[in-house]
Amino acid sequence: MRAILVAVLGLAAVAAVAGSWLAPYDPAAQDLALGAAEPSAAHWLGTDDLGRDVLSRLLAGAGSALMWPVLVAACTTVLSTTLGLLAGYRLGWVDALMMRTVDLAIAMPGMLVLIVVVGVIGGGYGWAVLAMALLFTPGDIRVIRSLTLAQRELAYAEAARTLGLPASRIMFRHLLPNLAPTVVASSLLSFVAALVALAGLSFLGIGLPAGTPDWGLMVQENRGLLDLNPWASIAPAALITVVACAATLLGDRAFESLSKGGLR
Amino acid sequence: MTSAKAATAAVVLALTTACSSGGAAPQARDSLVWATAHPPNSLDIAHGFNTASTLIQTAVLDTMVTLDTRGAPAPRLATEWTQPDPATYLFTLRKGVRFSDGTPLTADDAAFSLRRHLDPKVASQAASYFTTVKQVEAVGDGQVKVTLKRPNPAFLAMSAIAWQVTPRKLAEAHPQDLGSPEVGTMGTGPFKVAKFSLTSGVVLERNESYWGSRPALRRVEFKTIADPETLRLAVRSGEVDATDGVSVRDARKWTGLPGVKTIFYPGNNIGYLSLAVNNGPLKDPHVRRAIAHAVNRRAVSDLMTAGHGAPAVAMLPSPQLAALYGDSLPALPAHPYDVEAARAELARSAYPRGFELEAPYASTGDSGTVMQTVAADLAKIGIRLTLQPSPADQYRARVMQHDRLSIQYVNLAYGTPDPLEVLPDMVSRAAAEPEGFNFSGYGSAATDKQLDTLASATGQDRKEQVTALLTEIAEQVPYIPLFHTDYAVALNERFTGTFSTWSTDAIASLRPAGR
Repeated sequence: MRAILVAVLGLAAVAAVAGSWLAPYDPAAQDLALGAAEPSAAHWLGTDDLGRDVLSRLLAGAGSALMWPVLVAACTTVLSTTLGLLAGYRLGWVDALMMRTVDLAIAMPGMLVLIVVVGVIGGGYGWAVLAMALLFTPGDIRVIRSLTLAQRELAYAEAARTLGLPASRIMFRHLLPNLAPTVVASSLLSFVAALVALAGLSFLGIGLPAGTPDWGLMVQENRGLLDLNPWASIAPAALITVVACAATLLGDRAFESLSKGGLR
Repeated sequence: MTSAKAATAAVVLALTTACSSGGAAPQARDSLVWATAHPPNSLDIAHGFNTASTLIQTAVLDTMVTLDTRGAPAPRLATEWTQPDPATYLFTLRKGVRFSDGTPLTADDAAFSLRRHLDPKVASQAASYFTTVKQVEAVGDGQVKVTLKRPNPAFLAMSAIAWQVTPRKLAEAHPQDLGSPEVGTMGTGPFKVAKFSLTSGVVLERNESYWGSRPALRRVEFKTIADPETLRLAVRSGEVDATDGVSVRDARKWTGLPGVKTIFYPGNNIGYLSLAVNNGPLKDPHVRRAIAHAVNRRAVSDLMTAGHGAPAVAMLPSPQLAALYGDSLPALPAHPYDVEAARAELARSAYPRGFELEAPYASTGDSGTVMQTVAADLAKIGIRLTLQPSPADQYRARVMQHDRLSIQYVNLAYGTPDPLEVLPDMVSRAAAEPEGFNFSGYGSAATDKQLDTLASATGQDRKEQVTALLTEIAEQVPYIPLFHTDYAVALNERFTGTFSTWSTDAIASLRPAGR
């Protein structure tokens, strides 16, 4: 099972990196005379209403669909791990200040904030990614903090403190490896949440310009073509679902494996 | 079964039957649900001059004159009119007409209803229709005299659209909020407003004291369903009986709906590209001509109209061209689709290697699709458009403020067969100011003078002056006409109605099929 999940995500990664090169046609090339056409030998997944090759757009869109969520997950993981460790280990006013800020941030409706940032203020996709990373971070801080609270009372942490090791060394060299299963699982879940949220923003027509090869945008632009070429919208929707499911399941597996002492 | 149980079962069964039969009861045939794609914002044309609002206004408010099936002015609240001189109209008011609350209609009501559009306190969106009006006064009980600053042959057609009559007392007390959900409106039309909410829609009920033919429908409810697919499914399921929210581009999905007939008729509209002639590379006429040559208008038209429209040949809606010229459209300068000619024009400009340009568009609707095709065509000659999506409201506000305009896709619908409804929007300097529709910014003292002269021209002179303006627009290319489409209405087969390009009483014409 794990091999299948890794294979799915591996293929998605290859498409994200080399999709534009693998695409059989220029994903932006229009053929208005052809219009929306069903799959054929020339166009394996058919074309959209501007006569663009759906397969090429899927491949070219993988980069936009996957790279941004990876960036969100990376930012979220670094921020939440660092701040969660700090709050859980330092306690005192640092913990109190951070946790009240987290409470406040968690109370905000994430998708609404994103729509306001990107749609109303007109911040663009980069701002959406930044806002998403900031919105996802508080929840993960809370998880890491609670685990740190438990770890800091264990004998090995007590021994490190007795030896007079600096707090930063105890947090990042001793406590962090024991939080790794949760950090890995959380980062994969952040990736999934960002993938779905960014696809949702694209579906709403917010953020990316029309015509950009992007899975969420393709679902939105092609949903009116279900009677002419259903693959134009079903294929990107299916890819979002498959990648999200694979990442979630792999996160579960990674958590279990790492908790048992190593990835098997 | 005991008698108690039997009695209980009988009661439950009876209740169940009653409930289920109530739920499945077919809707009364004198009641209809109409869905619009956009919500009406005001039932006063002064503040709700848009398709969804005017549809309802025409069912509630009578105008002094109307348009017949050919688009010619015809009597409505005015039974007749005379012109004592070319700049004066004397309207005779229909006798015995009452507002829906029973109050008699007076000449003072009618005169005030026009005069208020000239009042800056009202800030009427229809004010531009009446810029030539100098004075409006009631003459006795039964006549209204309108004096124009100069003769204006388009005045009657404009009046058929925008001179809606409301009680003076009501309009005077509410210069800014007449027609709002809080104030509502009142008219002499075939229906009266029973409910108006910005969120839950509008309900109209038959005006039993209507002076004309009694409407066949007792009640019409207006809902807003913005998503085209949801709207189509609502019509298919019978939840909605009729809608004008049919995109002709999706006509194939509507024509096959069981139990629904889709009616197409010529639309008085035009879709075009506006080029901001005062901004960046678009200042250069060679660049504008290059763009005109580069855009494959036939392909864009075919894509957007799906056989229910045609490429636009001039900057006027097709019905207006037909009304003015008949079949004898004059030869106008053309920029046919020709990539080599486009490159040659660009080579003569200050930007022979092309340039980059930001192009905002509304992220919902057809704007994105048109701009994608335009961007692809322009890329062939080295003009790289960076498309900037915005939510529709934000985009509209930006465009109406003439904020950072470049290449815009615009689609406008008009109400009359008179070119004077359109041309000032396109080339007058007044319309180039914020809130005006001259998004290109093209215009000069000379074009203003031409428009001024055209306003009072008649016959062959009028044709020649319109031709001169259209020729100038085609040569200077502040706009690139793209296509015009049919209008379309989907109607449940249980109902029938009369729809035509110039009709202003579509709602009143609705009736159960067979009647």
